[in-house]
Amino acid sequence: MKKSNLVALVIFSLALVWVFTLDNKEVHSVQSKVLGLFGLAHETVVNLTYDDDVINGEPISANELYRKYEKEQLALRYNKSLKELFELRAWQGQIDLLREENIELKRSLNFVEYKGKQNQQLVAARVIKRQSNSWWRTIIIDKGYEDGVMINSPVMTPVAVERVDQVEGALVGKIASVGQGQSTIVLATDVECKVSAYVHSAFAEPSGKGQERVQGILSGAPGAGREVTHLLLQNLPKEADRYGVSAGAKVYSSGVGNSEAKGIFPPGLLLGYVKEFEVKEFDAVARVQPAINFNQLSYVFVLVPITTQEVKGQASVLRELRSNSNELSNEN
Amino acid sequence: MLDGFFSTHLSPFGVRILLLHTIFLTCSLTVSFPMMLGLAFAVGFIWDSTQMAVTGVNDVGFGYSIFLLGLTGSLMQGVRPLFKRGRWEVPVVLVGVATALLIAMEWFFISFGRAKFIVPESFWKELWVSALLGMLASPIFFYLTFKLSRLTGCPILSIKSGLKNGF
Repeated sequence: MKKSNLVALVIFSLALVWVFTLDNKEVHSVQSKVLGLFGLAHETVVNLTYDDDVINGEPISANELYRKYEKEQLALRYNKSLKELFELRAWQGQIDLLREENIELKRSLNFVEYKGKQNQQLVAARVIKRQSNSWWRTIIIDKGYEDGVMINSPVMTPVAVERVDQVEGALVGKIASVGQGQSTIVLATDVECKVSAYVHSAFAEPSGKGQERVQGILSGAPGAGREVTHLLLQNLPKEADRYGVSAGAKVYSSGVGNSEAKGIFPPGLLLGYVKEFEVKEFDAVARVQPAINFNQLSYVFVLVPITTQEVKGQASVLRELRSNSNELSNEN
Repeated sequence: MLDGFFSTHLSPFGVRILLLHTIFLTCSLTVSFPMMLGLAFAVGFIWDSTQMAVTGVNDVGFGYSIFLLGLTGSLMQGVRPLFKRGRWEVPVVLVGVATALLIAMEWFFISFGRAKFIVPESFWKELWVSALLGMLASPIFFYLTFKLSRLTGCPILSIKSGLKNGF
């Protein structure tokens, strides 16, 4: 080995030993000086590269954070951030719930207005109780006879059809028992809740013009629960498929009564959609997917009869409005 | 500067390009052994000063890069006779090998400091991609070194043979 190389190696080794034996304070001071020397260049690079990695003046790059804070400080900041993250997640959950509730209430408002135009009076009710042993059969609401609720009053809820703001009434069930401020609803998923229904073919015109109505009786399927979530449309003619009873066809209440001239349920309430159609020995049965999710009921509407006095009152108000508008048009 | 710039943009892909190290390795062929050691000290010192955490505890001691660069620089000096003869293929390959060695030894030092030898999933990818990038970049630096030498009139050891063979 050349003498010069040997000398260089010795000097290099000594310098290396000096660097290795520097204590933290000295290292930091050396680093600060070097960084100061390269500060301008470094800043330029930082501006070029880390612009998107800074939020509210705080670096998000691991290297930069490690450079800026000590380990203990980082741990504290990490814990604080984690806590804030959990709080924000909880808030997010609340916001999601409120958003859903807001959509539901807006839909309900549209529904009430829509029904009001049809001269139907609805009483809004909140589901207050649901027991696990009768989960798919009954629910309890916070409205009773004081609010005009009567036994067998139909209960419905709005559902969005095609568009969010386009609502349609879907059947929930009927009132089974009434208390002063509470009532029990028998759900449409219960076997005992029978509704006369007709199938509106998916191919038919929206008005239903020219379409033969295929009628049947809709009720809950035996053993309705987590596994069985469909309804059964029974007593259909065997050739019902020829009249449009196929998957996707809408099922509505027909309003036809069993023993009385008029049924319990008003006509035109959406019940669900045909899922499957099966021809049996004497008749045919369709499995119907309910239009609503019976698991997520929180607000429902009870259809209560409008008293004669109220009808008279509404009619006089309408007459007055009409005469006023006539007078105004005559003046113009 | 460039190193920081590239690191920021390549790190999302889990790869590094050790630009400064590659420049050092290519330059270490064109200078004498004592000069190479001086260069290793200067580059390693600056590298550790700018790259290691100013506050807090580091997994490796300050100055480890000087040692690594000195070691790999010595390795590069071994192929200087070839380089003198104008053969640059072997040095280019050796730049890749030295880069891989640098990363492997860095991992070893860090693991030793942590008293835990764990091979991260991205380790092998980082190793070979960085070596490959170093190998790809080194001809450019060889060329630039010769160009600079010609422009400044400052001779480098292999300038004559290097120029004859295309640089």
